Amino acid sequence: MPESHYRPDYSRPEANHAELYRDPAIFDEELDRIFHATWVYVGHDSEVPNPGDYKTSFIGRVPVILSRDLAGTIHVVANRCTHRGSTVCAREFGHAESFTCPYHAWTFRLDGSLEAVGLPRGYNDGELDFAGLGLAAAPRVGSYRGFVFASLNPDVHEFDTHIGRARQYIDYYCDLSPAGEITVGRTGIYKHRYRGNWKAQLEGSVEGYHVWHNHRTAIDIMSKWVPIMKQYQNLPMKAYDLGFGHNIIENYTLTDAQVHERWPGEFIEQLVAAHGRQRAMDALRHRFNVVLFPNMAILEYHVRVIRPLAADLTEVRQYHTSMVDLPAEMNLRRVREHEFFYGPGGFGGPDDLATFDRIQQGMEAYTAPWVLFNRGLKSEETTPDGLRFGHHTQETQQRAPYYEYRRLMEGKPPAPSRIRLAAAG
Amino acid sequence: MNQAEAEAFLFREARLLDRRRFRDWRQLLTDDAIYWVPNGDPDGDPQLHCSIVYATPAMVEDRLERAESPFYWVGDPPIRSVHTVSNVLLEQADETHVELTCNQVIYLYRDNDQRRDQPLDVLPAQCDYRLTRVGDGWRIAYKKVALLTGDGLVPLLPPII
Repeated sequence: MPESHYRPDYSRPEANHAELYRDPAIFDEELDRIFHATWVYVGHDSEVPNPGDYKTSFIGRVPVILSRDLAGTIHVVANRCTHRGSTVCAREFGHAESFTCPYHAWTFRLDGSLEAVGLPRGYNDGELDFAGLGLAAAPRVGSYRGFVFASLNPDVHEFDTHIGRARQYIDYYCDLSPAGEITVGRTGIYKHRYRGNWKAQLEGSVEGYHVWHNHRTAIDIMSKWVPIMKQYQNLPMKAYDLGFGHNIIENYTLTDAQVHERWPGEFIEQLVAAHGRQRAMDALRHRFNVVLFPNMAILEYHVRVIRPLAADLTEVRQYHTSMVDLPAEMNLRRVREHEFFYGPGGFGGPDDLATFDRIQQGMEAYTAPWVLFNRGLKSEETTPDGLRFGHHTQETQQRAPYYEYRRLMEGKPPAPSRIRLAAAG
Repeated sequence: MNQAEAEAFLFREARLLDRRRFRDWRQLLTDDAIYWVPNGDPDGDPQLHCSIVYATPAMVEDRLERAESPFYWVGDPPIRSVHTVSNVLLEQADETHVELTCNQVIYLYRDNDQRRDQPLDVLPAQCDYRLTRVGDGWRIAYKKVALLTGDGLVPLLPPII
C-alpha cells in the first residue's frame, strides 16, 4: 500500500498545513477517505418533483443520477453504463422513462436496474447477468426535509446520527415557508469555478471574521434595507460546532420588534397560523449559515454545493431557494436580495471567490506553511450538551470541520469528540 | 435610426465599457432603463428567477460605487474587456424608438501576475436593445446580455458587461 501523503501533524485545532490545500496526492486521499466514505449531499426533492424526473450530481468524483421512480421513490445510482462505461445521462435535469446508453443501447430503468441491451442475441447463455448489471446504486441514501444525501460507503454511520444537530437549523430554514416546504434551484443556479482548494469554500461559508472588510462594498449598500448589517461584527452572535464536521454561524437574530420591521405583518400572521407562534417566530428570527460537512451549506437565500475537482480547482454551485406559499412579493424580494450579493456579477460573493484564488497562490509559499484557525480558541466555550462555540467573528466554525476531517483522514471510527480541547500549544 | 447609425451607437457604447468609462455609460441609460444579464433561461421571467444582473439606473449606480471602492477585490487588479459587436439587426426602427439585436463577443482579462494561470475569458452573447430618442441623442431603455454560458460557468464579471 502506498504511503499516505496526509500526515496527522498537518491538521491541528489551531492550524492546517498548506499541503492539505495544494498536494494533489492528499486531494486524492480526501476524495477516497471523505467524499467516498461519508454522507454527501446530492440534491433536493424539489429538483425531481415528479415520477420520472432526474437530476445528475456527484459524490466526490463519481457522477450520479438522482432519480424518482414511478412509485415516487428516490434512487441514487452511478451514471456509468455497466457495459463499457459511458454515462447514460448527459443532462443536468430532465424527465425520462429510462436511461439509454448512447454506445450500445443498454437501457436502465429509473431505479437503475438493467431493462434491455442492444442486439441481445449476440450474448450466449450466462454471458449477460441482468440482475447484476444495474447502475451501481449508492449503498446508503438518507434525507431530511427534502435534502437528499447519499454515501458510497455501506458501513457509514446512520444518517439520523449524521444530520444530528443540524436538523434544528434546517427546520428554521424550511419553516419560513407557510407550507414548510422549499424549492431548491428552481429559481436560479449560479455556477462558479475558482482556482483554489475546496476547503477554502467550506471554511468560507461560515466566515464571520471577513464580512466587515472583504464585503465592505456590499455591507455599505445592504445596510439600507438591513440596517443591522452595518453592526454585523459587533453583534452578540455565536457560531457552533455541531459535530460530524457540521457547523453554524448566526448572522443575526432578530428581536420580536425587529422581526416586525423586517417582515410584513400579514406574512408573520400567515406563518403563525401555519406553524404556531413559537415555530413561526423561530423561523423569522434566526438568520444563519449552516455547513453540512463535507460539501454543502445552507445560507439565507441559497443552498451551496462544493465540488472538489483538483487540489487547486473547485466548483461551487449556488441553488437559489424559494419558499412554497410565500407571498409572491416576498419571494421576489428573496430573488433580488440573492442576486444582489451572489452570482458572477454580485456585490459580495465574487469577492470571496477572488480571494479563494489568491489564497491558493499564497499556498505555494512553503516558507510560511500554516493556515491559522486559532482565533478565539482560548475563549471557546461548550454548551451544556457539549457543543463548542465562540463569537461569530472567531473561528470555532472553521475549526469544526477538521475534527471530522482528521477522524476520516486517519480512519478512526465515528465518535465526534464532545470534549473541548484546551488551547493547543 | 438607420443601420449605420445603430452600429455606430453600439460601437461607441462598447468603447465606453472597454475604456472603463462606466459613469459615461450610465449616462446612456433612460431614467426607467433596465440592464439585464440573465442567469439560466434567457427567456425566463426576471421577477421569478434570479439574474446575473437585473438593474435599474439606481442599481447601476450602486454597482459603479462598488467598483470605485478600494474594497472592490474582484477589480484588484481591474478586469479589462474588449467587446466585439456584430450581426446587428434592426427589428424595428423609427424616429424615436429602435429595437435591435446583435451578437457580442466579450473578452475579459485580469492581469494578476501572481496567479499561476491567467485565463482570457471569452463570453459570447446575444444582446437585445431598445433605444429611445432623448433630445438630440439616443439612450438605452433596455439592454439584455444573454450570455451563451448563462446557465453554466460564468467568470467573475466587471461592473457592467
